Amino acid sequence: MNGKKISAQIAGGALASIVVWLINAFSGVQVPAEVAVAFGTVFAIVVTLIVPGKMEDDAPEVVSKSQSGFAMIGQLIVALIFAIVVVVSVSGCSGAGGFLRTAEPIAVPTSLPEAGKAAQQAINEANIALTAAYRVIGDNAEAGVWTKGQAQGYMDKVNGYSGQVDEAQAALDRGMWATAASQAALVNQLILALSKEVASQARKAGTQQ
Amino acid sequence: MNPIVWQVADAVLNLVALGFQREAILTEIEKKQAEGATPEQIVTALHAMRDAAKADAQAKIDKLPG
Repeated sequence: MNGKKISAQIAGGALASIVVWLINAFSGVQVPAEVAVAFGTVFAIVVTLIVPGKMEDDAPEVVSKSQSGFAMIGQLIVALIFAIVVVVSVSGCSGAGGFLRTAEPIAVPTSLPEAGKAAQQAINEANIALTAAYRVIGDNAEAGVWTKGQAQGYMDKVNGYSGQVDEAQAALDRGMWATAASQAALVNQLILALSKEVASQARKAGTQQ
Repeated sequence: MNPIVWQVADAVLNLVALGFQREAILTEIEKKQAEGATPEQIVTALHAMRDAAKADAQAKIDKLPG
């Protein structure tokens, strides 16, 4: 098998793992390992098939169509192995224990009723997302990636969401489970939208060109 | 370089950075849980981590020119 196709399979597996990992990290949905493997397999097979290069180049001794077919099956098996190894080990799927794993749910106070536990879980998730956003804003500011105005603009938005999370926590502490849960869920949606906005923000060098 | 390329590259880098930060935070929380922190203490710790990150980010922004 030639190096170009192997590189394509590695790239396909890596791309698939990044996509699955991003879904795990940001969507609130944890992709099951078997789904990730299927996705990675399709990804790796597709890139294997679209990368130029005849099968005969990979195995010069192959002369017949049936032997060429075996070479194709061999490549697909390699693609499957790449998909399993790369996707499962990297993407952090449930049951896979990957390198970039998705953590188990954070424990919430057992004294809370079910509605209160759900609200506290949402508030915890919001605080995690907010902390990550603050750290990325700080890192980008320190690295000079954003202008002061850009960075402060994001800070102001995130500060607003932090205030809402504090209000949700206060509501929960007063026993207003439904209010706390709905407010925390709303904030999580807003943080997700902000994350996408931050992600799509061009660095100042790019905008100046 | 083409600005579109910058935008795509930044989008990927920022998404990955957010994901890595989230992983780091979860690791810190799991460590606290493993050390025996109660759920109530974890809730307090999450708020404290957020406020510390907020102060740190604001301090870095304040150092920027302009």
